[in-house]
Amino acid sequence: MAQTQLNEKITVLAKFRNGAITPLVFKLQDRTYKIESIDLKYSYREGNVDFYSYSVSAQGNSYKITYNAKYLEWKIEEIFN
Amino acid sequence: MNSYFASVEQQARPSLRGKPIGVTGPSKRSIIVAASVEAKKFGVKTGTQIWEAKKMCPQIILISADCNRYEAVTRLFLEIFISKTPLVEIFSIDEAFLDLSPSTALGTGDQVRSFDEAKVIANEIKSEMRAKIGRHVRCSIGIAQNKFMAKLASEAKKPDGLTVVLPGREIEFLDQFELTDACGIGRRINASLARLGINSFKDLRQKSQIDLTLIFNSYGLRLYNMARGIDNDPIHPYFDSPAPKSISRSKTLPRDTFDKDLVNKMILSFCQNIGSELRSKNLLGGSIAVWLRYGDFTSFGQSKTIKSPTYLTREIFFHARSVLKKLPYQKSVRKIGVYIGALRPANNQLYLLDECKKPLILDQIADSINKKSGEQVITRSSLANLNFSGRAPSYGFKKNLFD
Repeated sequence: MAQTQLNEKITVLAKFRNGAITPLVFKLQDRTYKIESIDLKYSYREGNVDFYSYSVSAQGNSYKITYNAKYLEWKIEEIFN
Repeated sequence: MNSYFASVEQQARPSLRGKPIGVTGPSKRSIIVAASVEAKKFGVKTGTQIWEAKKMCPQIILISADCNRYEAVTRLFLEIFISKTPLVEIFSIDEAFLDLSPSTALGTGDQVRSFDEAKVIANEIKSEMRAKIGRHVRCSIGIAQNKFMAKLASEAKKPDGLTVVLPGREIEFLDQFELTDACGIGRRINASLARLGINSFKDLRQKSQIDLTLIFNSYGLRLYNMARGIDNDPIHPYFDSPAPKSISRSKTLPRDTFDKDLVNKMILSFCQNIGSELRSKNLLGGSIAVWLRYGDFTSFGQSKTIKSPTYLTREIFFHARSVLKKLPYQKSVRKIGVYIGALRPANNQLYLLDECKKPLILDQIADSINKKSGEQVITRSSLANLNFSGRAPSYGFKKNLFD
């Protein structure tokens, strides 16, 4: 099992409903991943920036993707396979 | 919480579920900070060296700790607790006390009046945690008339336990446990008790309060009460936390070192961090200690009183360096720690001389910028290239989770 730390911007298709953000699909290096399950989600604040972090499963691997609410961008922080 | 950090990692990554995992600090030389239920079966536990863990359990999977994640999940379950009662005491990153007794002082007359009602609330908490966090992050709950017994009850069944100790049944419940199972009886006190022929709570009850006080001073009364399941310490709610008595920072280095410059920089970094925390809490430090753990696992520390208590980084560092000079340096250094104690309110400390005002202004500007960015973006130039390789659990859990 390998844990790879990253800090790369990704494109995410997400649902915004009832005050919650639900990522559905993300694109990393020209590959599209449909999120099969959201295993853990939480938010935290660093300085004056809110982050929404999701541990998701897709195609047999686990990914940690995070939404930066100040800059409105998503990043992939970790791949675990 | 049960095997907290490990269970959060297993919740986040389905492939880890049911497997022995150990959560470690960022350095390869750190210890296991949390072991999963599966790893514990092999004897791996918090504090086990990584090499030992691999020997006990060759198939163990090691995961680097993610402090942001654990603090965020802690906030999630604390929010659930606070929705049941405002009287929540945060004991540690994975433990809390809830006062569910009727309280006229706060006018919260709708609090529970029976242990059965408390059990219902406990089950609600478990159910809400499963829904909001996930079913792999589990907790054991103890319900009793006081904190000491409730904590012991929470240890009775793991994982996912719910144990009630009814009033009047404390001694019967207590006698099932070893002395060291109790919060407040560690190895040293246990050894002292063993030397007196006290090896159980039943033995401890044979000693009078006077005898225990003569041997253990003020702690004697606490031991006397523990033996009877008595604890008068009230809940200290999270919104009314007492000021800390000390602040410390420590870190295990990636490699043992003889490099005094690196050790100095580490200490400066700790002093910077400690100074920032003191200023944020408006506290001055009146004593300082520095300790080194060497490559052969021996340790040495020294302390001194700070005649003019301070919260200025440069003054804290000045005192830390004067202590460091007294520490032996013949062996390589593995771990470094700085501790500041004798804390007292700053009471709007005034510096009349410009040479004192300027460092305070600089410190305050740096604090303000770092707070806004959430990172150490402003630091001493000598620390610019110092890389901590991630925030280690040894930096300590921020109890001010709701700030």
